[in-house]
Amino acid sequence: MNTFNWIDIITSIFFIYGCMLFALYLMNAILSLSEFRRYSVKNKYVDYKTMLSFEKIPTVSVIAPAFNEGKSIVENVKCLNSLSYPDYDLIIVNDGSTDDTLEKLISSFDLIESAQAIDVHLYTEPIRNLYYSRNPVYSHLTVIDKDNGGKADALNAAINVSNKDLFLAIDVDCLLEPDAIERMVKPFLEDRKYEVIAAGGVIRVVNSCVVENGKVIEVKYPKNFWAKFQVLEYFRAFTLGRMAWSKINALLIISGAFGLFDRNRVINVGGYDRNTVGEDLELVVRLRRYMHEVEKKKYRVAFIPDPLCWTEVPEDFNNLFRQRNRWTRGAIDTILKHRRMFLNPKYKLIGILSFPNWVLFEWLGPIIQFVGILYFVFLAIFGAVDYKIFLTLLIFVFTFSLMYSLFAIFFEIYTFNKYKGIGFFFQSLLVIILEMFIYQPLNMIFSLSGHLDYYFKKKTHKVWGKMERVGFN
Amino acid sequence: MKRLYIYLRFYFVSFLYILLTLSLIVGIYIYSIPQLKLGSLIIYNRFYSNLNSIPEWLYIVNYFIFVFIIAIVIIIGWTIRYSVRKKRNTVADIIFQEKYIPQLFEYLFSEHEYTEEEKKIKLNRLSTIISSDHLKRTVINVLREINAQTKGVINEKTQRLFEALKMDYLVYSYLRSLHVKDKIFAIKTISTFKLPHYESRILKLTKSRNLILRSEAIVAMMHLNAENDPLSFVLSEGYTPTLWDLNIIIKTITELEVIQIDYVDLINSEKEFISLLGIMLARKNNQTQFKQIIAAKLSNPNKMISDEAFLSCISFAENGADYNELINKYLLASENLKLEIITCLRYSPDTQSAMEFLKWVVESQKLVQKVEALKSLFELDFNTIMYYKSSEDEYIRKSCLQILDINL
Repeated sequence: MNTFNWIDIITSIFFIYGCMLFALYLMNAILSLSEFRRYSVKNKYVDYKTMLSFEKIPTVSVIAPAFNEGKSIVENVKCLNSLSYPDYDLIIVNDGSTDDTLEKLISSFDLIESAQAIDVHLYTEPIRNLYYSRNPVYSHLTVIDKDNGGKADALNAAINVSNKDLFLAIDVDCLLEPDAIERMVKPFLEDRKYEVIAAGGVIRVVNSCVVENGKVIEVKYPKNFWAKFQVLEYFRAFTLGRMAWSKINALLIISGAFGLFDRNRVINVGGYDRNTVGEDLELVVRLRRYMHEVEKKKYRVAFIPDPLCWTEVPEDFNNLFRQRNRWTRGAIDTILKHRRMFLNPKYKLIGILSFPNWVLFEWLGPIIQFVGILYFVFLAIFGAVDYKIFLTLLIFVFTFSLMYSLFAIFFEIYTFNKYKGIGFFFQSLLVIILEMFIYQPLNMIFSLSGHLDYYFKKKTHKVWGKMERVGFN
Repeated sequence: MKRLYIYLRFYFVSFLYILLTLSLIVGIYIYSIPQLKLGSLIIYNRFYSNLNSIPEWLYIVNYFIFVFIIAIVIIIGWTIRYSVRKKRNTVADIIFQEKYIPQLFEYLFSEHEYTEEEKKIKLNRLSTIISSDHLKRTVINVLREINAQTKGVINEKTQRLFEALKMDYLVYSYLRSLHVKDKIFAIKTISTFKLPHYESRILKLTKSRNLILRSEAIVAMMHLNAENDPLSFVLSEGYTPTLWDLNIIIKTITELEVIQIDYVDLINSEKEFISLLGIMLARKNNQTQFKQIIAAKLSNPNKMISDEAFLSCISFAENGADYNELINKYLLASENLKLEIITCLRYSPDTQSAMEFLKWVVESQKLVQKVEALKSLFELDFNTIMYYKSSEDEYIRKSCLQILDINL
């Protein structure tokens, strides 16, 4: 076979991969549009306050692991304590913090040690103590103090202590909207045909927003450019991506920062995996496997597009790098662990579509992108690039990306409209353009580093990495 | 005429579809028609000759680029249009709220008796102001809110004012609208002002697949039949409630203080959620006479029904036999209900049976149940706790420690 044939074959592979990616994004846009319409019609006019007087609703434990969160723990617990749901308790897990997290909790909430016996369903690192508040305002607060074992371990400890029907796993630094639990619980009350086993919610960026007493008082578009990129990224991921997968009941990820789960089912599948940094993705995949292999019932993982949870995103290169590196390692871990689901019709759409999407575009995506760039440089050096075709394809990608991102922003303005004013729209337009040339290539590099760490740094590939936070305004 | 206008408006093709169709036509022209003949006039398509010379797959790529550009323009246009419109409505709302709503309040809440002439002038003025649908809805919503929260003279005044505004055509057309928002508005208005001639339409909506429409229709149906049998629709054919509906029904029943309920038909219904509703209502309204029918549901295969039956039996338990029945059926109960049974046994008149059972729980059941049983034993006989405190079983010792922890 001569050189030109090889070039044709390789180019065709990249072309087919690109077409598949394009088809996937197009499918996402169409499905999310339909799902959004359905959701909007069904939920836009629901008065969630009515749920406060409901007789029969599932009970919920809000569980939040904390590791060295001394700076903001008090404010965060106050926020979580002021949710409006009628039957919930709050379990904070001090996962062996080395700072003053526990001391602050004890003094601020008048905590006292208790000798409560715990039914151990899931193995965890030893629990040192359980604390309850003597202040009636915090009567439903429980603090678990345990040896450090990582986020998954801390969540498992909280699941052991909880005795509610559902649990809402959140990051302790997240700020929740007061009616967040009501909105998340609603799918558990309304579905007739399917049993809802979990519900995922939307995460929004709190950077630059005005926060008072643990509540977001005024939503502002971030000033920091890294945060601006992430606002756009979160819009796309949650509004278009997850909404579309939810439409076909093939959503594989519920964000670790905000997800509601059926406690008994999570116990049945063995709780969170303590040996991965992508415990959120892994749990949903395992739950789905369990439903297909063991219970064999009609079930659903619901997705709530309302902005209910606010979190601080990295505002500098290093923190962003560490976060994305960790996400990649978590995804690889889960994909490899559940590789038998790949193209396996036994798992229906999950096996045929959703899992292959993770393999092809989340796992292999950055590698193929990088190799593609190298290949282009190689062809350019040897003068084998048809620049007319290259330019057409570049315009194609550019216009499609622009349309796709604008679509996500339009959704936000049309439905939730959290960022007021038309100025936000035009600012976003600029961010979309810059994102394509700055943020997307960087994201590819972050993911590649995650790949390298996973395969070549065996000792550290399960390490979370330090995240520094700026704090709320 | 107004009704016809409102009715037809919902079917008008939106601006977006016109734009999409136009762009499709332009696209077809650019990409597939070399020339256009309009009588003697021939328009040559210059794009076509350029595009025709490129490979077929690139031709498709070009077409997609065209579609994307059009979509970008549409999205930008649409966003601007939407934002401007929203701002305009907000400004109108503010003006209306500040200027006219106080006048409405003054009319409704003042003790001054208006003459018929004065009323007519005020009504005419209000009718002129609320020319747009948006403002009409605002006024009706205000009236509705006041009506729902008041009784007596003010309530009657809002009712009369609503009738005088002659908004029936609006309610009629909105109830048939394709938009959920309009339908909800109409149902709420019908429910608050008890407009009886829409009942059959509302009954249909109680079976809607849309949760919020269904909820509003349920509330309206119950309000319309508050004095007869507000739950008659529940037993009608084709009605299958969800857990959400159940909660809505119970909430509305409580608000309406309904007395006439056919408990037996509800409890014995073949539909699981209706049976569940019957048991819940019986418990809530303390209808102890249905104790036996409910007890028969303790072993129901549906967990929710059996749980609710257990809760009712716990709540209705009066004599030793009732408590012993709970003890006998203990193993059928779900984990949370087991705890409830253990807790209620501290009130059993048959103390001996209760204590024997509780000791059995402490010695053989799960940790959480041990703790709960020890709590009950603590109330019944403190010495038993002291005995268990030095038990060889580690879990029993731990449970005792928890019971004796003064902070818990």
